[in-house]
Parts: sequence; C-alpha cells; structure tokens
Amino acid sequence: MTAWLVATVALLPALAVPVFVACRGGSGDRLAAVQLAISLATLILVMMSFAFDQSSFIPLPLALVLLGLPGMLVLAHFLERWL
Amino acid sequence: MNAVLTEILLAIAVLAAWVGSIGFARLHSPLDRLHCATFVNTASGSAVAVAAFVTDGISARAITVLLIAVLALLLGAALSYAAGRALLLRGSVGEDGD
Repeated sequence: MTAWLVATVALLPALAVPVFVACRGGSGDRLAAVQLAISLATLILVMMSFAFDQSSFIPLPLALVLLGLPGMLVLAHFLERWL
Repeated sequence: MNAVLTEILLAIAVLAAWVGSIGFARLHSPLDRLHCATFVNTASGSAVAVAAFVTDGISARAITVLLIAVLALLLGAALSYAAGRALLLRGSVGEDGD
C-alpha cells in the first residue's frame, strides 16, 4: 500500500464532516460545507491518480476545480437573491 | 530519500485537511467556516503539489497538479468573497447568533 493510497483513505473521514454539515446544516452552513467538500474532493482525486498510477485521472480534479467556480457562484447568487 | 519526503509532505497535507475539517466542525458561524476551506486549499494543496513534483519530477501530471493547486487558491479566494457577500446580504450570519 503506497503512501498516496494511505493519504487518500485518510482524507475520507475529513470529507465526511462537510458532507454531514451539507446534509444537516442551515443554508449558510451548506454553502461553506460545499466549498470545503470541493477542496477535499479535489485533493482526493489528485491523490487517487498517484495511488493507482493513472495519469488519465488528472483531468477529473482539474474539471472539478474549474466547474466549482461557476457552480458555487450560482449557488451564492441564488442564496443572496432568493433563499 | 524521495519516498520519505513524499510521505512527510502527504502527512502534512492530510494533517492540514484534518485540522480544516475539525475546525469546520468546531466553528459555528458560516463566515468562520469559510476560512477552513481556504486553509485546506492553501496548506494541503501546496503540500500535495510539492509531493507530486517529488514523486514524478517535472512531468505533465505534476504540472497539472500545480495548476490545480494554483487554481484552487485563486478561485477559492474569489468563491470565499462571493459566499461571504451572499451570507452577509442574506443576513444568515446574524441568524446564527454572531
């Protein structure tokens, strides 16, 4: 078991905290929880690429980072205006 | 030597992610919680980027990881600003008692 795989597994409980808050918290907490979950999921996807030695995994976290911006902006705008 | 350095950097990244998650659970205001995501982006992202270069050397994958870390830093700052502004305008900070 490589260090990358151990690090990937070790990050999963850390991801569980924002996922739990995103499921149970208020709307403001959910906004912050989604942002932390995107950050942690990006790290996990990068580590998975090294753990399984698959370079083809790398566009996944890049897409997640790039798509996280408009998604979170829309969510923040929606929260600001209508919720 | 490279393996040990990679393990140390990954340990730092995982520790920073854990600190960010524990802080996220401990803090109560949504504005305070936004700082946790920024901390994880900064500390863990940079450690993983350096670990990628130590493992692969200068490769396309390591450069992509560096790009991801830089994008996460820049976009995370913009997102924190937008989210904080939305929370303040909405007034949900006051609803939580802060």
